[in-house]
Amino acid sequence: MKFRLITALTVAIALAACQTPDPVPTGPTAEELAAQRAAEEARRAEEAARAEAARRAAEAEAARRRAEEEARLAAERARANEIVAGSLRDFEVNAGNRVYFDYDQFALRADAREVLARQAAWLRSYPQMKATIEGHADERGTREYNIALGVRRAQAVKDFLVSQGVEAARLETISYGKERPIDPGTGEAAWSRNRNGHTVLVTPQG
Amino acid sequence: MHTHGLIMTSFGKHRRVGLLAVAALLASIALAPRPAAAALTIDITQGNLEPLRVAIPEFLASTDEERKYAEDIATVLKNNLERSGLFSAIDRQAYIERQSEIDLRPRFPDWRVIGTQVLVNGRIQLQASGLMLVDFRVWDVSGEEQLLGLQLEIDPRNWRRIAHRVTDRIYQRLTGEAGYFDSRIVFISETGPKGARAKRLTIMDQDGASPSYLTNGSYLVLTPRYSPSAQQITYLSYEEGRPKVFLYNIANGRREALGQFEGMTFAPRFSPDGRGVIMSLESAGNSDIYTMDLNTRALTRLTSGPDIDTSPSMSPDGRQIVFTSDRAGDPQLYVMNADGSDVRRVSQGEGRYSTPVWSPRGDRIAFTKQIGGRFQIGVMRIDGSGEITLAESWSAEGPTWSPNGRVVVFFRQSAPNAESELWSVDLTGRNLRRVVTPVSASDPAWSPLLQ
Repeated sequence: MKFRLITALTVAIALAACQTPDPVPTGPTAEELAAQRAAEEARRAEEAARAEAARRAAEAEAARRRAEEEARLAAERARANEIVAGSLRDFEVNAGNRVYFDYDQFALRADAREVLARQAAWLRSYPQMKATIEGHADERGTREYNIALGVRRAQAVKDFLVSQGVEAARLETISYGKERPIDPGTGEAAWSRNRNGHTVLVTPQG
Repeated sequence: MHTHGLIMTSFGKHRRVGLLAVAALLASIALAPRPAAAALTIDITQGNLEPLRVAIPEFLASTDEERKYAEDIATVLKNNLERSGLFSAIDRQAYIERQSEIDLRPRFPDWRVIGTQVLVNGRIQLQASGLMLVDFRVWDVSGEEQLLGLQLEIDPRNWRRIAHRVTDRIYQRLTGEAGYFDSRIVFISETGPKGARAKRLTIMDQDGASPSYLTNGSYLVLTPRYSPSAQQITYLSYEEGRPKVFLYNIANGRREALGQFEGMTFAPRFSPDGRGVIMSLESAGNSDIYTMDLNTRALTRLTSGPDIDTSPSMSPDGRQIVFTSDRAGDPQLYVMNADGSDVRRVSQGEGRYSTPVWSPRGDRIAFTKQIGGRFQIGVMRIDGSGEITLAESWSAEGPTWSPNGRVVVFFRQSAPNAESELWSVDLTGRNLRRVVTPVSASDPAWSPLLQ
């Protein structure tokens, strides 16, 4: 009878033996992987259904917010001559406070350079204003890597503004990685908005 | 939190039932689908090895208070054993023998007939001193032998830790390697909408019990990691605006920024001797890897160049560092000596690799990999060979090793906008299961075994 337990214990020991002298944990066998995948598939389908509802709600919400934001900006532009020059709103509406990046890139695109040229001109006109440039990434990367990527984007924005005559001392950079998406949705439309450099004006103290 | 007057004694026969010889024999045949002489079947279609069937009858106790502790300890023990994937508990209703004395041998046929392979019994006695005396015995039912006898004297408030320590002893006796049950996990609790998520530093026991929040969610915190003494946590915090590496002292709740620099500091981990923190420091947009001596606060730069170098993790002997770099165009894993010399790429497969973590055993690196629009958690040898995938999901990230290097915990989202959850999986890729947390969770980091 004794060998029965010994055999049973080998289950555990075999696992240990996989690692002890010359650890070679092989992956699960094909059947195990298949079973694991099947179980995973079933669970995933269930979770996906649940998540799909949440996703649709989030997308509807995002679409609503985008529409709202665009309407607001359009209205603002229509009243552009009512906006107080030099105000935060003036910067946002007439210069633009965000520029967007391609996936895993920090090179400034042509559309970004246009926005940044306006930002630089604006900042030159209001030399008392300082700004913090936030770098953001989409969710398709790991946290630490995206923090490093975000600060590169912020720095690319800063470098451009400095090259256009804005004093470096007026510009701070910070990265939020993928932690502060402006679009809660998923998919390229949301991700392309979430990869951005955001120039946030800092109201002068005193 | 602390175990007072903990005494561990062993008694009874400690014959190893030829286990070492068996282990040696099995080293060569461990991977064979089924040893010829096996009386048990191993159903690999379930993705699991056949677990050992364990019986844990109510521990002997004479008062209601003792009975309450006895039941609570037995429950935690049973849950630990079952979650390990190596054991399944037999329903108590099937039990035949009702033991009345701890010092009598069990009636083995009564246990065999209901399929028991391992029997754990015990006795709880509250003493005049206020301490609780706990006796445990573990029996090989087929061999009719005592495998383990333990007597512990503890503060009853620490009853959970006793259950974990006993599990560790059982695990060690039956697998021949150290356990991981008397340990904790630090992680980030997440609540609120995606664009303005509140994140709080949280610790809990490895089984999810006793969660406690260390920060209040008013500022962003990320990527906590335990010190080798389990007394401190290093993490990334936006508490002062600019992201900085912080230290949190668990005993007194004090936290401090680790130095003041022009650029951000992030991606911290302790060195295995606990004397230093290795992390990324950013300067003019460029991230490089540095070590900081925690006594002198002196920085030593280890990487240079215009690329992202981050997520460093030291080997347990302190001689090498694995990290993420995009120097070849996209994120890949590299190993270098602890002084920054001899950098070589180790990730060889397709895909984007990041968050490498060196195993406490020293022979494996766990990592996150992005491929085909999905995320995987995998492990590889330290030269990059032998890569296997442990888990795959819409999103998955941040593996952390159990103190014995047998289990990996990570966080995942099964689908877009699904909750972020902690999951655990064995190094073999088996026993994938959720680690339950009070709210959404991310960035887990396992503590060492508690002292």
